[in-house]
Amino acid sequence: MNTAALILTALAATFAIACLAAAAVAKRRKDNIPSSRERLREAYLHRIIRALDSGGRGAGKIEADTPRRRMALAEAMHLAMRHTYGSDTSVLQEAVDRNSLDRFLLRRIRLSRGSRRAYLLTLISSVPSHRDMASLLVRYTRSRNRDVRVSALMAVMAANPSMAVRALAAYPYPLAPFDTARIIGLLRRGLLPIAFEPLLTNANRNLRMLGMAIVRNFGIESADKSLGNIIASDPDPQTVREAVYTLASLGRPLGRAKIRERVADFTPRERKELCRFLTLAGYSTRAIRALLSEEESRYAEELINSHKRDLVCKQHST
Amino acid sequence: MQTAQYVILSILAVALAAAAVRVVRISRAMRRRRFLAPETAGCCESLGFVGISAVCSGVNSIEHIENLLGSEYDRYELIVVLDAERRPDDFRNIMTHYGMIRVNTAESDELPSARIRALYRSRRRNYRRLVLVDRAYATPYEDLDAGAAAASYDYILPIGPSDYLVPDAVETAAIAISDSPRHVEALRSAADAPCAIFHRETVIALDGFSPRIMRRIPSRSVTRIRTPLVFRIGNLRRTRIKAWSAIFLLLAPLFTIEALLFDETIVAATAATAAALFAAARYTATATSPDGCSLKTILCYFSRMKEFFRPQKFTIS
Repeated sequence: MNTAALILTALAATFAIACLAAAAVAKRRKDNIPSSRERLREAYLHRIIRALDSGGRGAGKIEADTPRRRMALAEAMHLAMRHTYGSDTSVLQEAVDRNSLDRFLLRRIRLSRGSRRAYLLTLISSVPSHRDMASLLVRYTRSRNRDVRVSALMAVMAANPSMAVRALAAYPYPLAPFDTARIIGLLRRGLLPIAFEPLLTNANRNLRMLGMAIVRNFGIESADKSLGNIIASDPDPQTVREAVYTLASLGRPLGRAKIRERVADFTPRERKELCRFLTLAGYSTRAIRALLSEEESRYAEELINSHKRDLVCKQHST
Repeated sequence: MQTAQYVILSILAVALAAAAVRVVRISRAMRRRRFLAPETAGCCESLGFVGISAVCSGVNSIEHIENLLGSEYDRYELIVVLDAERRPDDFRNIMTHYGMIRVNTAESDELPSARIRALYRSRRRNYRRLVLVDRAYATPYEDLDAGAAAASYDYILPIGPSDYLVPDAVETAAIAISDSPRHVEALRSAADAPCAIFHRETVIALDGFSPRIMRRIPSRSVTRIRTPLVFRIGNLRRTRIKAWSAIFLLLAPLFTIEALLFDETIVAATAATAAALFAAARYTATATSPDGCSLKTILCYFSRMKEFFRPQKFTIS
């Protein structure tokens, strides 16, 4: 009995100390007290921005000789890439090669797990690396952790942009809207080519979803016909719903017979949600009446009368 | 006597294990949140067309409204429900500060208790997300019904007078809702300040908000997250008194009985476990809540214990 009590006391005391230590770290983070690595990261960030500004001059002189410094350098590169659209990352290749940054990150990825691994994979997607890196990262796209596998997919696509569509097609899990949004982030940074048509005509669900996200994000009105084809022929109701919403967010006409038929297959709740979406998107009562039933159109009319009143807008005054 | 000692030790071990599991889950959720926060900042569109309308009852200060308007999520709006006759000064302040003008409102037959007197929207482009609803105050639940009736989006986030949004709360909720493979009727944050988001159609189907609403939604349709969405700024003095009284009422008799009946090892084990639970509360409070009050977390432990015997009510602070 005494032994059990002593063991429990020791365990509880250790747990209490660990929790208090973790609380101290969390408090430091919350108070925004920069750690030495964060200060290092800031210093590297200045040098990277100078190197990017001067077209790569000085990138070869960036040196990170310890693991802590390499990590700070990788984080600084990630920060720089996140906040600069269309920067030519290859100018930093010299700094990566000199410090074996990609190999270092790969080693860390192997040793870590969970959100930490996902974070390191996100870092490696911002670091200019060689094409063979893609094949080394592919195995993480089959991870059980969703954050890890999506980050790995992004890293694979960034390492070898010419194979991005193939990597996405081989990805065995359905992409959630947030995953698609993260991939769109890569596109916006100029790391991937934006060719939406092959994606929309592909039978793969993930590719279609990404294609539609591109159309929405870049406001490509010419995708009208491809979206119409998806609505008419795709067997997956989720993809059809996405296509209808994409068309609506572009403000395109929705009165075609095929669209009406597919919308009629929606559940009443989905139709009501669509009705509210169309109202907010600025569709007229007539346009909504062409798509939905008489009762639903009446509901839309009520919404339009309450929500869509024209307001005279003053410019920013606060 | 031996059996009693074993029972006490088992209870302490279970409490310690539960605290450890909670700390691990919270720390995982916070690591994920830290990882996702910069990623959500880069998202320029709504996720899966999920729209969230925050509906406030009892919120009347400009500073509080500013906090609630802080979210940058694309499909988000804030609906402030206030009684212009009961709080004329606050109402006038909001009207002038945000340049509100009266807009049309149709009588909603979806939520009969809504009874909106008037609806106002801001003329200023930067406050387009703000809607002010004037209605005679009866209960906070009827205020929420009025807000839900005026809401443009499909998910309703009820906000009480002491609730403030945690940074990235709306994005976190939208990710959780859009990622769920099945239809989400309600999303519940199991952090220290319990908070729930409801689908508008579910609220209508259940005849509006009520303390029983959470119990009437099947648990398989409720998605749970461990990341906090709101934090509560309440009366700290009252919290302190309540928490210390609860701790004293629980620990004082326990220590006294143990000291009288058993040897000192059992007392030491109890003291160490109590310290571990307090440290776990300290960590949870620091990691999850911007105001980081361990005593509130401890009170939350007690209310969770009550949940074993009686299902939780839906209340807004």
